[in-house]
Amino acid sequence: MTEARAAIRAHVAATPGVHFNALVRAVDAAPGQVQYHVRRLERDGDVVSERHHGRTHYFEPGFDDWERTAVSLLRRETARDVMAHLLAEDGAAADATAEAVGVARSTLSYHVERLVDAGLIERRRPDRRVHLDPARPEETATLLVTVEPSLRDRLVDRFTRLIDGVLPDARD
Amino acid sequence: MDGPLLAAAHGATVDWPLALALTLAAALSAVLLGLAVAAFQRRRSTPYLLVVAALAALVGQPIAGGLNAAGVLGDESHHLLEHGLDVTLAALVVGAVWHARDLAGGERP
Repeated sequence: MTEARAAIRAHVAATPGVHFNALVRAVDAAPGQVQYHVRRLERDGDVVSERHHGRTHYFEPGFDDWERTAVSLLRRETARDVMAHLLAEDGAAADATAEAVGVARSTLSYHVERLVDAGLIERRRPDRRVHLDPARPEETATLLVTVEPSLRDRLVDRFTRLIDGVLPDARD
Repeated sequence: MDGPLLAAAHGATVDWPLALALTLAAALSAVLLGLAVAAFQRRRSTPYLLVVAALAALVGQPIAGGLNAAGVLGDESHHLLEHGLDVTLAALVVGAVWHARDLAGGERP
């Protein structure tokens, strides 16, 4: 295996769910070169890719569907904060969660929508209020520790928090 | 008529504070525009699109300033363009605020 390919494989193993641009920056090679090596790694079954909201994320084999989706969501700072709060409280009301995490309802709503679709959160309405529960608390806690958001992801997340705070209904 | 930067190329002194301010303004507003574009890609909503357009107008200001300093853009048209961009920026933000209010009352989690 070439040096570049070994570096790519090692970086994917160390940062599950890393996306293409971050991978290019991390291994310091030309995008075309990275693309070539990633294709070879995929063909040999050493790397698995998955597209999410317009970005391709890379994983080692061995992550199941649920884990792959969860990892790409847990790279977002706000989604992490929401999950951490729900895990700590063992489930909480939606409005209390927005307050605890310090985000506008529209921001919480955006992230909860995706976390519910991905099977990380279960949503129920015992009364008029919406209640959120972690769907798979132990696996989620493990992934939260494994995954770290990139600087770019952090900045975009904080930017949307800011805009949602100023324009409370900028969601749709 | 030469702008300060082109005049400098002809032997006059460079207006360093202006060059520094223009460079910083261009770099920082470009970072903001990048964030806005990434946020819009996530949300795909009209208010976010208007924020992208407003920040694009912000990026236009140091570009207009740079063109003026390089002598490409005359002082008068630079002045008009600069304040035209001010108007555009303010109008787009007002549009984003207005649009956000229109959508109030949707389903919440």
